[in-house]
Amino acid sequence: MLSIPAVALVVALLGVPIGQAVYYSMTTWNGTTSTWIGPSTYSSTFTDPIFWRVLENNGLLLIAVPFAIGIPLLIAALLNEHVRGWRFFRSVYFLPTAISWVVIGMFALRFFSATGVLNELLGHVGFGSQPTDLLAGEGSALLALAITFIWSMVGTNTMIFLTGMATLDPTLIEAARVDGLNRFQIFYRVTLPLLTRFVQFAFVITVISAFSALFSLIFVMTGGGPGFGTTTLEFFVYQTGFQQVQFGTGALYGIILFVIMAVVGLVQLRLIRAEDSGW
Amino acid sequence: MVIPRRLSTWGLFAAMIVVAVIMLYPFWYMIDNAFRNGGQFDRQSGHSFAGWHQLFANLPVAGQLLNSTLVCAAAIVIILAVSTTAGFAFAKLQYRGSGTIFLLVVSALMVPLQSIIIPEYVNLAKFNLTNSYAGAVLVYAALGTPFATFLMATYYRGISDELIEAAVMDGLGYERTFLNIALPLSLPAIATVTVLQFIQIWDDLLVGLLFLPANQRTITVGLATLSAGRTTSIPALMAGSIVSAIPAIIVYLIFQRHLIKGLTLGMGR
Amino acid sequence: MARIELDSVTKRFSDGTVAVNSLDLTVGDGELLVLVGPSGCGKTTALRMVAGLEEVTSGTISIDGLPVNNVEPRHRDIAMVFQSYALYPHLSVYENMAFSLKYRKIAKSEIKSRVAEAARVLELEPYLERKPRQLSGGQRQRVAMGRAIVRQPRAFLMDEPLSNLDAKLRVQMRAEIGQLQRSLGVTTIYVTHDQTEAMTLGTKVAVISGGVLQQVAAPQDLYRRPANLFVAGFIGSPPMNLIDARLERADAGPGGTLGPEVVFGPHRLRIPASVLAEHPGLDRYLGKEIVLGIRPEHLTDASLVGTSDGGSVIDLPIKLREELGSEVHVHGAIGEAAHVGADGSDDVHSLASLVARMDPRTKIAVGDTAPVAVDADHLHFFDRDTGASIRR
Repeated sequence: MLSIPAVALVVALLGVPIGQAVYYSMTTWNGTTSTWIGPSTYSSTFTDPIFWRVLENNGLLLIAVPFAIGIPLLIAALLNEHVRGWRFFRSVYFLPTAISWVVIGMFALRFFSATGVLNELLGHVGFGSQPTDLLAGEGSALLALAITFIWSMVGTNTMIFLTGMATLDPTLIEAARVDGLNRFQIFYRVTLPLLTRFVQFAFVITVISAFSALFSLIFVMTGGGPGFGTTTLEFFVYQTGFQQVQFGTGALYGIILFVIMAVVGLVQLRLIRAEDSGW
Repeated sequence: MVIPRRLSTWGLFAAMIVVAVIMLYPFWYMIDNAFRNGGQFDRQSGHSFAGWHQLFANLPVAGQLLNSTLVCAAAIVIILAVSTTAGFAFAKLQYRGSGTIFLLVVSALMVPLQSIIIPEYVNLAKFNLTNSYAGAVLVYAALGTPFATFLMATYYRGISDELIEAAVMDGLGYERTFLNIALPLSLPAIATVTVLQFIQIWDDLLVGLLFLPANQRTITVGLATLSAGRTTSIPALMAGSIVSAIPAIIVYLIFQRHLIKGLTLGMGR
Repeated sequence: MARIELDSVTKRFSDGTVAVNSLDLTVGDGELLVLVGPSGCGKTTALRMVAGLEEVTSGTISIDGLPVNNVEPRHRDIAMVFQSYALYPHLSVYENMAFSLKYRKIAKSEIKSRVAEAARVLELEPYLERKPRQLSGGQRQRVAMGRAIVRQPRAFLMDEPLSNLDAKLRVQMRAEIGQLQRSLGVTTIYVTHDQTEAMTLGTKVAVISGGVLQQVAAPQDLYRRPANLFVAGFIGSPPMNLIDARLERADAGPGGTLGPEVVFGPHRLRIPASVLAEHPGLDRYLGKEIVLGIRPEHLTDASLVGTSDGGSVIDLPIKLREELGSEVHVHGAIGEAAHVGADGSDDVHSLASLVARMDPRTKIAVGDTAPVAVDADHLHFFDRDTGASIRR
């Protein structure tokens, strides 16, 4: 039947490897020799401080998620006012989604460096005495990464929220206007509750990106460093698997990543179910 | 307190411009600095083509652009072929278990690339597919299929059943019905899938990095390796960024509407 | 309680359409003014301007004497009931009604009592905890009204609140709204396209077409003395029969009186002296083309009424008979004469007909050529070119 090619493709290239990855994860394969160890590979990982450091980075990055959602919400609200030319601005804001994270990373590198634009700006404002290379410090590099990440997500999330706002019944807003609410109250009490589903969707997309798409950014901006400062799980997989050629360990991290993603996905599904019934 | 409407309009406009500047500044920066040489970059003044010369000296730009195009085209063709057929099947042809299988395919969306990249590499190496376009194309195709299938299935669901039934009554087999009726009707969705996948594949790093030999790299991978080397001049890198970004931007500008529609379709489950 | 005035209010949209053209209206304190007209006539736009949801291009809207053109909706102390009810789907009925009060800094206890009172009046008490999607259309409509009532505003604005209900419910709710408005005594502007609603609800009715006010008067005046063709054809169901005719002097026949007659097709109708006295302007139209208007209830079965007066009986070939139970609608052809449409346009039908509302006992049947008596005391006359009614 018609669907066979698609199914075959996905199963072969996406499904099977998962199973294989689970297998690999329990070995010490380094490309040439492989020794089966078993599930204890996992337990030894959980006691590895580096692993936790890596996970911590992912966790810290998650703090950026609310910003990556809140800012686009505001921008979408701006656009939704339909001031003349808003469509033009919409195109502009969405433009960054067309370019590769690699390119974004390139710019971010220059922006945050000691001779970069950020320091220039700070200089104008008066903080010029201490030019710093944000990317040189572990914590600050992560911060730079987070800021870049937020900037990149603005386009996508703004579009999601804008589309959501467009589906809202305008008479609801008008009713609130007549009933006495000011602009902020309307946004907070009427628009936002009605956008819940979209906020959820944006949340999932953002979290998924934070766990996977960030790879290119890290590759270009910091290479994981300094130290393990910006090594997140998805980068760690690459590093362990291909730079250090530890296939087994790399696969292990890959599986953990997969589990985390699956959990996020399931939680999201649960939320939708719960909402649909009580909505 | 009554804010005159005129004032709040201007305020909004100003705010939007500020945001636009923040969004566009990187592009301006890159364009500005791509036309400099090293010294000019440090001083942030003056322009020349030195950066471009360096870029072309260090990177087989034209070749890599070609590679990107080839890989994109090949992968997209596969994705379209596979997702339209499967999407149609899932949407219109109910067969036993189709619901579950559909769910399975779509849930593959959740599989992060990094989780499977290692076994993937190993598998493809066994078939000697890691030293040519083929491996990368297959991986891209597999990655793009779940979402594409989902999109196509959603779109096909929107086509009235009666249209299909009428065709079947007229004697066309299911394959014919698909080719002559459903497919032509789904051009908007096909456009959306094409645009989305084009941007994703063109901009991708990891797959290209791992599955393409050095002489067949895409422009994005080429740019990244250039950058990681940290010995190339910055203007050259800026120039490279522009070259890499422009095709995707052009595609985006032309097909904006389809992109937006695609996003909406995915959300309005 | 408020008095609302619209003074030469005009609304021009950015694409050039003039939705409302120099509208002058006054709604007195406690009055219920109905804005009625066909779809797209500008009545909703006018209402939205009073609410503050649309900007006024020119003219002034005043509430209690103070111009409110630049006042935001939330400061106008007006409550609005939307056609789609605009209930917040994520809030319960109680919360929907309490919503606006929460943000006006009103004490919680006060909110509770107001909502309870409104719920009682509107019989919504059993539904207070439900969400809108669990309610029927009629219930949602009442919640929308409840939300407006608890505001205790200076005025109510209602935008076709009954349009989405089925016919039976509409009749019932119509009566309820009327009673409610009277008992609360709040100034109300009510928009509808249904002329029956307009006639039954309004203390004053304003007929609007193409953004222009056609006539504003009490319902009965609108009915008996329509100011122009549009109002004449719009108010009343079935609509008034409008016929192209000629006003002629009659010959003094044997025993006949000298007086004008109105002629259409093969038919001649004598105009009674009383009618001539009420319409002195007819003098100017002697010998000219006019439009004659006769309401269906003023056409009766001559044999039932027992009229033999030739001047006011016409013989019509009957084309259609509709049984309505309490009355019968009889359609009689008037030949090649052009039938004028309600908006003044010329609608040439080769089978133009007059509609008559007759007593159900009539024996008139399709195919007969029946004598139809015209109640000449209730003839209407309109200028053929301007559509204005001919009075003085």
